[in-house]
Amino acid sequence: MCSERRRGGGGVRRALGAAALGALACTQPTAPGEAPGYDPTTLTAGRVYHWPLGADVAVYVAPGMDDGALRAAFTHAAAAWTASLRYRELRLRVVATPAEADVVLGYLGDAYPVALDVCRGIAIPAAFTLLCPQGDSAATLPLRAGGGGRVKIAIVVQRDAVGQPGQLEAVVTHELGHALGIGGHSTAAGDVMYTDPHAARPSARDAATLRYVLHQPAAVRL
Amino acid sequence: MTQGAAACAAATRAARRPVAALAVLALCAWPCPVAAQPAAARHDAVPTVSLLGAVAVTSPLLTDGNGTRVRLALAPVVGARLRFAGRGSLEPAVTARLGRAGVRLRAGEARWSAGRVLQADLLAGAGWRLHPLVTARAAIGVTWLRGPHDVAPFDASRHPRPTVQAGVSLRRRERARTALEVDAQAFRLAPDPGRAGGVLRVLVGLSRVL
Repeated sequence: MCSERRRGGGGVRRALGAAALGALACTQPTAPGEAPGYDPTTLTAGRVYHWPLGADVAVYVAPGMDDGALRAAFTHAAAAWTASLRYRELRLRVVATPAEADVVLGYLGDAYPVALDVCRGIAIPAAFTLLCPQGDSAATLPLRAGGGGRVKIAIVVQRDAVGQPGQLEAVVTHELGHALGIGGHSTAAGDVMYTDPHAARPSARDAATLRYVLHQPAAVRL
Repeated sequence: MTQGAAACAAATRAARRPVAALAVLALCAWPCPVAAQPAAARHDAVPTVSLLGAVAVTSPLLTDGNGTRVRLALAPVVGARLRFAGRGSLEPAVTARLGRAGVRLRAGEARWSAGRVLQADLLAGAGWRLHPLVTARAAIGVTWLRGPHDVAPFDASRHPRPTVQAGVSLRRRERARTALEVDAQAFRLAPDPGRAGGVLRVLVGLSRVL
């Protein structure tokens, strides 16, 4: 047993030696493996996709004439998801132009900065997330302003569908969950990844699902 | 007699019994006031100060069921040791150390970094001169690990942890002021959630008597 120590009779040297050996003989600190709260691949035909572990994901939030509500919702969602990680697997940062972005977030409309007719996305009534697999990676979504860019994921919010208080935060947090690697929907209404999200932040099941999926081998690498 | 002087007088009396001496030193953890000692004992009571510089290699801090492993990079460590005159070949000592290391994570083929860890140690122990050029050391104490709060296992308890250490000092000449030091330190970490386990830290470096 790790906690047992040889006692008595041996003096300081033997006691300290036994303590050191006892500590060294113990197993390493371990944490249990993560089990998903729900299947994170129901919308991707069983294929796992995510960013490389340790990646610094750049997000461009398109201005939406909404007094910064969309950007505030993203800040809330990014903090909520990154707080649910255990090993700083991903970091999210906001960039100033779509050309620098890995992910673009904006309202549906003419001003959306990337082309959205490339493939079909993962949709809920109020928003959708566009990711276009191309072999074992994802296609770069073309910028409407021209130039190459590096956008792999577009999150599109329908402005008229997020009018209720707190709904924008819930929808953006939901879509960001897709952008980070959850390619499925929860059937529990309390989860932010529920089809009609109302939760403002990821539940324990959502967090466990993201942690699980990030440590699975990616069939589609972003 | 002040409280500190009384404690140090107790330490002097206890020096005949190494276990008691270690316990008192761990509580005292500071050089005894020389003025409180009798003149004959004053010379023996002056502690010798050594500066320490080393590099540390640490065993994994955490391995999880999905195969993620948290380690520390090679860490520079600096410190100081107060060595007190003892009886015979026994030399009580108090050591304080500070090290800084990057946090390295690995999961399958993926490797990434996640901030830095500051580790501070306070140890009380003794050295035994086994040979004019060789001193074996053992100590007990506490270690503090302060790392990124969003990375396990640093997100769990931030309290000091008990630690034990054993090591050896090697000198080229009997009166050499510089010595090569090799130490093995062990402590336990308890991730939450998870199962506690032992961590081994090996330090190799030099000490220099001032």
